[in-house]
Amino acid sequence: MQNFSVLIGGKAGYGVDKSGTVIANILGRLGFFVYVYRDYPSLIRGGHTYSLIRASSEKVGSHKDGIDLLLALNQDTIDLHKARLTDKAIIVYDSDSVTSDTIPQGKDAIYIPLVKITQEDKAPEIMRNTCLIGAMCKVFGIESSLLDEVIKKEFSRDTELNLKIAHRGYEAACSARKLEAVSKKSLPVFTGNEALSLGLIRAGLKAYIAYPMTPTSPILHFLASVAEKFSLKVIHPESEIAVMLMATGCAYAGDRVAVGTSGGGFCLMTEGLSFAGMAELPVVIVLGQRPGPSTGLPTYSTQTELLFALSAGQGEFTRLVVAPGDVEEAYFWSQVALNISWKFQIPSIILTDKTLGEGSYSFDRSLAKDILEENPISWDHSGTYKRYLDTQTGVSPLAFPPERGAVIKVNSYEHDESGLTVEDSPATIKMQEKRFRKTVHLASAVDAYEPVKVYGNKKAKKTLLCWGSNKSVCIEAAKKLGLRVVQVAVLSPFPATRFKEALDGVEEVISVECNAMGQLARLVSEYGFKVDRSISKYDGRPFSIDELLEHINVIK
Amino acid sequence: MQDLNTTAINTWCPGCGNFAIHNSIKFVLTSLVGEGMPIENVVLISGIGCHAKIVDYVNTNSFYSLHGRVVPPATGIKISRPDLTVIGHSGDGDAYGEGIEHLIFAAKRNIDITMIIHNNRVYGLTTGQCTPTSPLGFKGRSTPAGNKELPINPLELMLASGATFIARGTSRAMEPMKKIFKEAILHKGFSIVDVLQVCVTYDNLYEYYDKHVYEMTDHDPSDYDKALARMREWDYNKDARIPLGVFYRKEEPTFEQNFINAPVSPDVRQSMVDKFLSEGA
Amino acid sequence: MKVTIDADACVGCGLCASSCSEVYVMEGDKAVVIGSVVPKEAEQTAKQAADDCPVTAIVVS
Repeated sequence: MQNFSVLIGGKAGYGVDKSGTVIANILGRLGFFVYVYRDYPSLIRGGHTYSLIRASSEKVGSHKDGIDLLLALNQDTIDLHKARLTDKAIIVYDSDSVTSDTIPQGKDAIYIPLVKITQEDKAPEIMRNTCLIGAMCKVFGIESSLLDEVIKKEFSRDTELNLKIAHRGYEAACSARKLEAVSKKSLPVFTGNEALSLGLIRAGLKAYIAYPMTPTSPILHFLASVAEKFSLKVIHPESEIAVMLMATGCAYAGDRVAVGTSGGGFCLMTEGLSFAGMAELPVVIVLGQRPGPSTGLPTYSTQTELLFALSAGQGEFTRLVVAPGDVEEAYFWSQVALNISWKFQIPSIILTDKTLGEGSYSFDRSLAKDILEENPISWDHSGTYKRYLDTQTGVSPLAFPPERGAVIKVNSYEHDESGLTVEDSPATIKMQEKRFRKTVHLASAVDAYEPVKVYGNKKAKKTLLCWGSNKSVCIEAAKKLGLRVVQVAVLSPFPATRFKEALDGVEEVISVECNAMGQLARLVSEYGFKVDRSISKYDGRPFSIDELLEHINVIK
Repeated sequence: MQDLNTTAINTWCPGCGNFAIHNSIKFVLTSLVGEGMPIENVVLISGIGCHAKIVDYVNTNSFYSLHGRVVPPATGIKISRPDLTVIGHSGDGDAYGEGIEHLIFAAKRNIDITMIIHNNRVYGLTTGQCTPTSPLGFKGRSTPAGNKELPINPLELMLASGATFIARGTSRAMEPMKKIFKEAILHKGFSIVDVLQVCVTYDNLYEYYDKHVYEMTDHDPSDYDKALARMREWDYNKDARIPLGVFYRKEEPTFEQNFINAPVSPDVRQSMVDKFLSEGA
Repeated sequence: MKVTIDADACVGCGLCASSCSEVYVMEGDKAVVIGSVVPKEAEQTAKQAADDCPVTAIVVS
């Protein structure tokens, strides 16, 4: 099997999320490229949650409809997913929780008494998932030593007990489908949030400030867990307003700082965003999108904040908005955002979503670039220091307190070069133009990072147009249909020239977006580019490859 | 030391209580510099309101923030550079209205910053509305029939929230106010000074305060209960004697101390990130 | 009537100078008294300014 899917399901509280990681790591060690889609409702116990792990011999970043191995911790998992089983699918289930006559006929079904086993070994009930994973390994003919390796890595608490329970599952199951290793190269598995966090650290992050909000809380948790190691100041304050304004303070004092949130929290940050633009204070904002409006679907995914991110905050000011498409890009663009923010003293927004942020992907280091960190321009100590000195690029030399001989004033009002408040017309025009001038230079700087990428059949007349987490599914669909794919990674400043080049020879543009209004389609049309068809999905779930192919073929 | 005056034209109304605060803070900074504090270590932060213009008028590092948002950047600055002397100027509308959540948390954290509240009990810059410390029945632009809410007692609120230095002064009496400012700035922990400052344009309370204020003389500021009792002598509403001075003072661990750790060099950082990237999170 | 201004106490708010310009004038960021005696016709406003001084820096004698 070179391209298959495993679904593990149960109630919230059964450790299904973690199981997805464990399974992904096991399959990853066999050389498979893996991708995990996690589906969970907004609650702590109960409901139905599942992890869908896709394994392939090629890079993968989307799920498929069909399930080849169903691991059921409860009855719901059978009932809700049996319609998706492929012809040769195998079911492994907890016979203590599932009624055997609900198992579909004609499928290989292996039952394990998970409750009995955990009770016998006095293990907590949550370890049923480890037992089931052990069973999965036997089913696939995976060496138990590999199972042990991953269990040890993933469970630092109760390691011995987990190993024991996993082995009980292994013993209880039988081999059904031998899975051969596809390559010697085994890639590590990361979520988009983790990769993004590591990119920020790599680019010199000193402080991370956030209020917990799905789907970016994992960034806060991860950075808090490594704060001591990397000498980071990780702060969880009283509100998103505090988050953004604290960050401006850190930036003023010279610390590279990032914040993270989702749509609702970003709403609260917008006054602070405008302030960062006016006061020229670099702050990176990670905006992990989830469906709204308002509270919406907190644990699902969307692409509805693009136009908001581009225009948020009163007034007009220079900003960078980027949207990584997969886990390697999450690592790359977070470095770029932090570096560029400091180079131009602007706020930047990294648009991600729950699919990318909380999805797990095989991480190919060779595709994940490091950027050269540039030091921002600093004061040369000559003359009187002026925080907003007007320059040819619009970027003023930086100084941070305490700087002997410098009076460093930042200001939310319109101000003169020294940072003192002004209200007259000539001073306003001068400062506005200084700040706008930065956009031109920003656009040149960003151009060096490949803001628009082309994949698939680069000569095809028909192209898919995408941004963010739809990158992978579009590439996969394009490959099957011989199409081109154009992915826009930088949304502000909009890379019009590169975009035009990417569309060279294209006669039909089909945009693929997880929103109802076609936000990228609207954006490109502002620059004179036409989108012929829009494929929209707005139920909070990402496209499966099957679904996208169907949409494209329908359009045909 | 550099001249603490800027070139900005002063636009406070003649008679404004802000002048006294302005003069006092310059006096205190000069005094502290004379005792060895480098002037470049000082950062003044202000919100939005008449009070906030102070940063345009004092020639030090400054951060002219948003309305109600003095505490968060002050906190960020102090956490990033704990060696700086961070002084926030906020109005009563700014600090006790828009920014009250942050003020409570500053006290709760005991972050080592000083908050000077220019409490004139009116929104001056927006032409005369009532604030959280205006008395019941205050007739302002937004409450022409009289304010229907009782004021809060900010001193009590700060005490309950964990502030470790709480004082009140009046812009009328500069000498005691200068003394309090200096003590507040030197105090290691969260200091708040409520300055009963008069707005001559919208609510001239000079006479009222002259009649009611008195300097506390036999008060022990280390006693929580006694401090609370003194604070409750005047509820910002009824006619009563208004005690001035330091109500409460205590030494407790400060928030920014939790973030002082040895920096990691870029090379070490690089190699640790590489290790993560090859092994997985 | 004589008025004197305590220069240390004066905060330069300009109230006296703007309300009684015959007697008080701004010199830099401090107020100073013009002449040695208050003109008869200005006595009332000069006293009012002293009363209104936000830091009670003006002494009337």
